[in-house]
Amino acid sequence: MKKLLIMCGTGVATSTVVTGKIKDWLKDHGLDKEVTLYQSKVADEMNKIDDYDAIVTTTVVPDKIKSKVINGVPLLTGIGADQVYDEIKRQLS
Amino acid sequence: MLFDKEIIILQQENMSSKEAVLKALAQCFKDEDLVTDQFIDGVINREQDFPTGLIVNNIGIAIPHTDSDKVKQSQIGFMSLKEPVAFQAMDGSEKSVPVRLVFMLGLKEAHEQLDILRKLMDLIQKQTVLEALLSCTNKEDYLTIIRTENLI
Repeated sequence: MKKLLIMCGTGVATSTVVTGKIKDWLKDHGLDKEVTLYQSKVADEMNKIDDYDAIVTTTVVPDKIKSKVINGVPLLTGIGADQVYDEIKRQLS
Repeated sequence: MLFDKEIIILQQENMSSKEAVLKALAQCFKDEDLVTDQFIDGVINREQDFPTGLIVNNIGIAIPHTDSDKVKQSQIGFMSLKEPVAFQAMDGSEKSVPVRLVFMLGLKEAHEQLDILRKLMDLIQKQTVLEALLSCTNKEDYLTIIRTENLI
């Protein structure tokens, strides 16, 4: 089982939307049985990011983890969303 | 439910900064007793640490919010600005976004609101809806737009 983390600043609003969208996308691509989704906020995950196979964020993250996260803002605006999904797919496979 | 208090400020002028925008809008939540005393500072601090500016088709939008423990009753407030106010971009690029539409989210429990949040995000992807919101000058028109988009 792969682990995918979605995080935002508060874990309240934007990550909720992105989690919903990714959940649908996983289902549409028959991946929902292979991936567990986690939703959280940046502050709670700083020391745990290596526990996940892929991380999507909708907010600013500290520089030291920047290279390990996928910018999920396109999933909110719709612009460039396909590239985000491609990257998630790549990191999970 | 999320729009019933009608926190709607249209064509606001003379906002000197994003803090002024956040304060004015958050104060409306406080006046309706929807939030705790910490909400106003919470929203301002959160915006500082985790900005919420988005740019869609050249229109700047912000969706400020804060932790749900500062919210007593969920509500979404709206402000449109006559002149853009600079917010930081949500994606961490440190870019400045000239914001003219602000949806302030006071959410008590995130997961229950997924449907509305998604509709709100779908709404901001529609150029015509954004333009309607930008030109809207009375509450009834605003509520009609929101209703048309199935948010209420």
